[in-house]
Amino acid sequence: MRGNPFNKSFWFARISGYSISRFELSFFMLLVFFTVVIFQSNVRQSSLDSYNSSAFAAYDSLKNTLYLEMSSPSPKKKYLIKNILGPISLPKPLESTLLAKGVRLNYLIRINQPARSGRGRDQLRFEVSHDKGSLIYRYTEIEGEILEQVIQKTVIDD
Amino acid sequence: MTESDNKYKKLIDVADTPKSSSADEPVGKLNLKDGSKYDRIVSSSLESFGAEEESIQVPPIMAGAEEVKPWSIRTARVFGTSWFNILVFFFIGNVIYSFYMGATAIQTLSGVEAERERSERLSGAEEDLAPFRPFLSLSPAVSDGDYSSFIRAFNALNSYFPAQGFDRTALFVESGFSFHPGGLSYIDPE
Repeated sequence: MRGNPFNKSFWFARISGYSISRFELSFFMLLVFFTVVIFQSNVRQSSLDSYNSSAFAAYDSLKNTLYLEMSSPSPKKKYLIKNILGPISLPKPLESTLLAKGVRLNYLIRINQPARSGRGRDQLRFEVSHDKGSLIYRYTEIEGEILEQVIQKTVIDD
Repeated sequence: MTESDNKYKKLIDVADTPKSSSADEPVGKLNLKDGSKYDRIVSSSLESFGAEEESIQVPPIMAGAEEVKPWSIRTARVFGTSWFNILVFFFIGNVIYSFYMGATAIQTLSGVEAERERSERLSGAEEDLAPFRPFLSLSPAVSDGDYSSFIRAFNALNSYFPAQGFDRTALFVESGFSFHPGGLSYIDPE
């Protein structure tokens, strides 16, 4: 191709004997518009998926760590953790769980308290999310019954 | 006029005389050697199609910078087709990718639906969470010196379990708490 693309004359050059019709121009502009819109949407969704994946990795790691700790010979009966933002590793004995940058442990509550009379308390619940992600991973276990939920965030932090 | 002058005049007349007259040629046949005829046909053709000789507008900033040459149809076709194909493939690829992401997306719940599901499936889930709500609603500033709100939540928690008939092992001890930027943690020291 003749000419230098970095020179304006390259782009201002006209095609001899030919002019672009309105239909061609409209079709091309629509194609460019929809391509840009879909591309932007895909890029945004991909980055959200990446943040959500890192939150889920922390959630999974924390769950396994807690199961290991709870099955140890002398498990801790009470945990109460609130609003821990990564990058950080959780305090002992959960130090094997590393929260990546932006991953937030919203809360972790663990109570295993048998009652002398009446109903005891045995619950484990925690919630993990990423500040820039779109999902919250929630684990709730009450008296041995487990419920795992994936919740859509209403507000996503920038 | 001398005899030699007449001779030269005859030679000039012969050179100026057309070799073949238009009457001898079949109509519509183009003699490419005849440049003027070719120009005349092209001009009349352009006029019949209403085309005008296009003048290339040179922006003032480019004046004198470089001669602007119009693209040939072939160049434009190669350029346009290549980029159009790239654009179309890019568009189709993005559409396929968005469908793929939609098909593989996990099912999510809204906050209200999640609360409803939890209270339906786990009896006592909300009741068991109630004593911890003061802690969960503590502001991030608690780690920056808002100790009074922490103590209030701490006392509320420790007053709840004895009231429910639990012994001293259910109590939280202050030494088990540690503060983090924006948050806090309690690990049972026992």
